[in-house]
Amino acid sequence: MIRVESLDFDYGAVRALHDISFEIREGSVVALVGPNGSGKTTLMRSIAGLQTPASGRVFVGGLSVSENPRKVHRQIGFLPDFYGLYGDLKIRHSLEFHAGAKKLAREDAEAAIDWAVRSVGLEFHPHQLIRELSRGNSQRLAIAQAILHKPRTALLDEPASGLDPEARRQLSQLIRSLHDVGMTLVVSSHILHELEEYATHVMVLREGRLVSFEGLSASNEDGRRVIEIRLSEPQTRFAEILGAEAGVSIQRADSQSASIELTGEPSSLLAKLVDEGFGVEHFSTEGRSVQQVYFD
Amino acid sequence: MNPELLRNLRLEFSLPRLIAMPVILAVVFALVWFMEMGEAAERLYIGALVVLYVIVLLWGVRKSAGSLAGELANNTWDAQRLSAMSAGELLLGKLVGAASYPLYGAAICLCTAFVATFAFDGASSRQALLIHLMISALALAFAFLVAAVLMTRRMGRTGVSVTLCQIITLLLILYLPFVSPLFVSEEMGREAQTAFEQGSPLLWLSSLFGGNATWYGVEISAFIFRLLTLSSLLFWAILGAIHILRVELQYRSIGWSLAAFMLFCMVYFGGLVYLDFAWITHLADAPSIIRKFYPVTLQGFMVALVLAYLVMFLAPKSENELQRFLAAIGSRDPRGAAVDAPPWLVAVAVVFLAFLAHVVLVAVSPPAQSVLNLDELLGNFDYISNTPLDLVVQVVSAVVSNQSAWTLPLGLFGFCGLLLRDLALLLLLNLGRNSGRADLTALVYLMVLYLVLPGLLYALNSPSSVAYLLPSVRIGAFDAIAVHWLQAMLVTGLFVWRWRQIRAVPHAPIATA
Repeated sequence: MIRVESLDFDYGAVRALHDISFEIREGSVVALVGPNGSGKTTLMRSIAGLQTPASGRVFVGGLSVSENPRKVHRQIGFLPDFYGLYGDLKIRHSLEFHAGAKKLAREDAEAAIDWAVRSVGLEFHPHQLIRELSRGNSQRLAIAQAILHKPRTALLDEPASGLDPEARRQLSQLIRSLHDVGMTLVVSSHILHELEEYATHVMVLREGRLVSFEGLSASNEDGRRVIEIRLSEPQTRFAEILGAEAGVSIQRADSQSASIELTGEPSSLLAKLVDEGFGVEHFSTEGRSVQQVYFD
Repeated sequence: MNPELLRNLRLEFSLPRLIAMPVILAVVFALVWFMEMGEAAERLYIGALVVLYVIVLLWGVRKSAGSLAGELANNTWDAQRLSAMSAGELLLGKLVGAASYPLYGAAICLCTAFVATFAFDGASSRQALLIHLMISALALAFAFLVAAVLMTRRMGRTGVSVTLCQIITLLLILYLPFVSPLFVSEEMGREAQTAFEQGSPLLWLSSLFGGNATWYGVEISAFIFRLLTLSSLLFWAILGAIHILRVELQYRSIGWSLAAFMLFCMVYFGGLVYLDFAWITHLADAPSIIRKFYPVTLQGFMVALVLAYLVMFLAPKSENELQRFLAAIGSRDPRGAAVDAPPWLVAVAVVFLAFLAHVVLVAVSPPAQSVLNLDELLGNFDYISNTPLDLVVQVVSAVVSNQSAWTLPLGLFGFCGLLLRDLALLLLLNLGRNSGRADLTALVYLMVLYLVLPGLLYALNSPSSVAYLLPSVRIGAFDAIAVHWLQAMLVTGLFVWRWRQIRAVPHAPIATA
């Protein structure tokens, strides 16, 4: 879906990206990680066709970004790290503007707006102004506007920054739901354990160089994940609750810890355990984690 | 409907605002009408125009520039760049949409002034409204263009100052139609003074649009000439803005507009100095048409030079763009090279074209016998006459003989050397780690080279050395011209060395996960 070949980008005498080459397969969720100034934003903007590199080529959906930037723009949804909204505009009007700007036909625009608003879980009053939205809902609106045209690829630059824990959890769910509808996502973040929840691959950049790009093996070929769970204190109904959950196959379990195989989303199971009032001390998928890849 | 226009209209208009503008203007015009000074209708006409300019220049211009500056400040520009809107749609949506409310007020003012003319013998005043309309449109478009130019220079997320855009626009607008000698003829000046002494603002205003203008020897109504001039400027402002927006939207298009604008300026200003310079001795035997085009090409070079310096400082000096341009040249891709050609390179190329035009004009001029006998000078080199080498030989001969016909072109050649030196210096500084301040640093260096050092040399009683630093057209200044080019080669060499030093990185294989 995204192919990058020998990408170089310079800011004056500073080389921001050094000879970056990789290929992202369709349907992947790539966690783009790296320290500040490692080139994450520059890479994303180059993929989105917002910055033209010094050399190298970028292809999105088979289209060369440098040759067909405008066509690529239509295939991409991009949320910048510092996204902006038209604060004085009504939410509905802003969504209509973005639908019009993406050249959606009037009849398609209504459906697209409804889909995007539903997808991000945004609720608002008909006359509500954007500036009246909370930070979390602003983030949802920004993402809704970015994916309004149902792009095949979404690039989200630091989408979780500034969000409270609840909003971050909802963001994780949103990214998973976008993945479920077949979208290819590249998500950059400093919050590694959250990337864990939805990333299928991790890409590590340091000083403008690609130091690692690998799949996270938590999910087997048949889609089953091996998950380790440990509670803060013993619960007699722990194994029973796990066994009753659809898609769970218990490998080992006692009143305080368990090792299971799961078909489906770990977050749903985690939410179920939390709803039951269990204090979850540890909940991790097996295989190399984003943190392991990053710190290795 | 254009979504950007609709968005701006939604922000600008509401029922209370729609009603407020005509009500406030009606109150202002009523005050003007009931003032006890001269004819009421004439007062209303003048008053409406004053309010028009207040609205356009103090408010509309800010809204126009702010339509772009606001996108950068609010981080919404990337979303617009990724939209499917064309550059034309964006321009229309922003220019008309963002300034729609001031435009609403301006339209009321123009209508009021138009109606007022029927209450007095105001045929010429009615006609003049067209000029005021064009000036207002030009102000808005120019403010947008200035904002667009400043936007291309953004480093990181630095915003664009709306106030700076407004000041630059005010300078242009106030200069062009009222102060510029292109617009104010001697006859007009006299009329304006009489009107001023009579205390008649209407007569004074009318005097600004009277008289005739001569362009390439053709006498035309000054009103038509001004209208065409303003229309042309409006066209170029819009074309420039569209070009910048296209670049922002990542369109891969060739930037003809800059070269075309520079050529337009050279031709336009040339028309104002299309005069028979019979006093130029080395052109004494040349046909009148050549004598008339001599100042045209000379001024064309100077106009191109000034514009080139403006472009050099204003255009972004992107290493990425230069590298792509060089790669396209290396791979013999003319279209790629044309698309990625940096604006400063285009501007400098036009200067060299202007220089060439002047050289060709001098070369085709029959030399005045009293000054130059080329046959005698060339001696047994007759075989190269009427070949391209002839020109080279003429230049070399002129150097040898201090021939006056070639003094000026040689002086201009020295200008070209200094231009190249300054460009190389600017690019070299932009390769530094803090390229954000490079242009300012270059400006300081150039001030030292063009002002401080010559001043120092004068103070040290060494005025002849000044020629090595400043452009010169004096006879026998060949050593100075050689020094100009030596400086150009040295600084260019330094730039090339630095450029190569920060490049060349081995390629890595494609990573697939």
